[in-house]
Amino acid sequence: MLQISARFYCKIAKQQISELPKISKPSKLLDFKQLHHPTKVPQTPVPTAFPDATNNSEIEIDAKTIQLLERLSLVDLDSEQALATLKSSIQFADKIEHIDTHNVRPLYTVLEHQQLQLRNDRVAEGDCREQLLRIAKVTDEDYYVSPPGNIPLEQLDK
Amino acid sequence: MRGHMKLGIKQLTAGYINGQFSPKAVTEQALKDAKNLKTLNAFACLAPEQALQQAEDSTERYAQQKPIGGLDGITIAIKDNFCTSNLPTTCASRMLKDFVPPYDATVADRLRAAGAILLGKTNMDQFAMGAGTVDSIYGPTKNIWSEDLSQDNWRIAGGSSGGSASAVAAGLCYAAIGSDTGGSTRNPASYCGVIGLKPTYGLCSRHGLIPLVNSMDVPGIVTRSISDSVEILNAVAGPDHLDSTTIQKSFKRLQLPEVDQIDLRSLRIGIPKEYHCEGLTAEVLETWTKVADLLECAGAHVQQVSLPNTASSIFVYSILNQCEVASNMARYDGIEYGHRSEDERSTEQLYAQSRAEGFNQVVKTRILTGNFLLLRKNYEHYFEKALRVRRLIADDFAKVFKPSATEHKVDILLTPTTLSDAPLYKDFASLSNRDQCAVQDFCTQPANMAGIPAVSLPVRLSKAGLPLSLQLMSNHLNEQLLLTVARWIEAQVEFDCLESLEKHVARD
Repeated sequence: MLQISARFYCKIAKQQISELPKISKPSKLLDFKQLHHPTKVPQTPVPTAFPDATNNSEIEIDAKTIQLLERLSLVDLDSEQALATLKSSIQFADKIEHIDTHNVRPLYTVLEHQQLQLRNDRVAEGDCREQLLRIAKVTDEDYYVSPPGNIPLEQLDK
Repeated sequence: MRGHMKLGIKQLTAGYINGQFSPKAVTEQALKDAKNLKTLNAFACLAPEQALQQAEDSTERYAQQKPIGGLDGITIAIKDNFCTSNLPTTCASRMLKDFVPPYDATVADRLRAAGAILLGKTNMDQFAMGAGTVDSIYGPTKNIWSEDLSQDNWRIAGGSSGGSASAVAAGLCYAAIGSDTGGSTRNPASYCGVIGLKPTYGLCSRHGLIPLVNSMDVPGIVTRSISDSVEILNAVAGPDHLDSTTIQKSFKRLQLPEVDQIDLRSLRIGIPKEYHCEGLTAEVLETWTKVADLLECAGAHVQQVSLPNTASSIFVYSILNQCEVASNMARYDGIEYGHRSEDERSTEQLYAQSRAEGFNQVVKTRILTGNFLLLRKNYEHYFEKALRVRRLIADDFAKVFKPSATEHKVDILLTPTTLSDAPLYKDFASLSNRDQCAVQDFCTQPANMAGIPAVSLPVRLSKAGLPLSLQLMSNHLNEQLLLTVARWIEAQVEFDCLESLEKHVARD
């Protein structure tokens, strides 16, 4: 049996003030079956009008695209399962294909009516080189260190 | 009035002032409790030394009768994706396992300035990508309401801010900060029986919150009561020059009326019918129905409304999430900070290997999918298309909140938060991450699409003895009304947030 010595702030209170009202059950237990008005909450699932573009045909992603994705992502698509997840995620994204968005502008930010505030072109902070370099794993004097940059990523042909 | 709510934040600070309690004793107790309830795995890391130091300073301030703010001596926790100087900030990922940020997130900074005592950082899904707090390098977080906390028979806390919700539900701290991109604060709050507030996008600064989806991320607030939620919001909200996406209008502190002063008679409540989707459980439906009836009994005008684009929202969310993730995760290359692989063959090899070792499978697949959706040939078809549908979704909300010639506007929308009570870990873990999120975020992510405020509050227990919660949403910057109505419901349903602990005490 798991031992949980559960203590919480009430207990401190109990130790320190005797007059704490007892933790009591609700005085008037609500009856969740009893309603006083015809309910406005739909009692059965509401079918959606949205044109589901479900297309169960298998998505094909060619080897070249996968190589490109790995190259852009710098992440390996390293298993059959990962590939299956990628494909099903794309199918999931395909669902909105047939929604009519004619003349609808993209909503990039919900703050589109607010002007982005620009700060004055003045140095307000800085001089934190030491702090920043301290959190890097490898540094040399005042530099970050990386291995040679002129060698392309090794990619296995799939 | 519930007994334990006597010890809301305001009551506790009043107790500090008159000397009934001391921040030091409360903090010591909290740290002890956190250790005793380690099995919940709510914390990614505890900060006992810093917390005790803060508690001593706070105790000293009260002794001098000079508390620095409304939260002086209040114990809090912060999700591990908010930067905290001198404390690791890991996003529950190997990629940031050793990362100690050189600066504080604005939210953390403001809480500290108000006197709050930071107990530690809370557990989460890796980089906040999840709805269960099951994908963390620290292991999953458990729900304190579980019938059984041993073996694999326990309930999930929800996610991705499961650690924050679990910590508050277990009485380990008075409030916790989470983040909310598609429901990551409201979902675990719903399962853990606590209040989860997602403020209006831009009301609280994201500076120092490690980004997931920049256009939707907001800091979230987890507490045991609505009034505590207001206390925290008042401390953290408002413009921040370090985050250009904060709303520039100055923030007026919220002050809620007392419960018996709340008059609902001029209020219009909308029930968006599309939120009754496939998979909604009978118990949640009954809860939703009853609370709508309660509001009507109190004189509110309750009407059914339609948000026709709701069902497409989860797909749009998924697309935008993966696209922004692909871009946001590009910063992790092992050079400036974060995990660095031993592979020194070339710069790109080092990047790739560091990322292979640092990210879990969920993160990797979202990056790859995001980059696929963003390919030049796909950009218009997926990304831009999703942004267009996003406008349709946001417009649905705008329409119901705005009076028109033919229809009245509504002030508040009432919906479920999650479709069921907290699932068993073993059932939840058998689903793929995408399915976990698609089901669990159905009712929560539309608010993020539109940037509107939303709050989840517990209403009653299910047959299995687990919390059932509902969600309220309102128009941009309408937190005052949103939380006033939430407070009224809270008072009617008298949900006991700490009952779970009694349950476990009784058994042991």
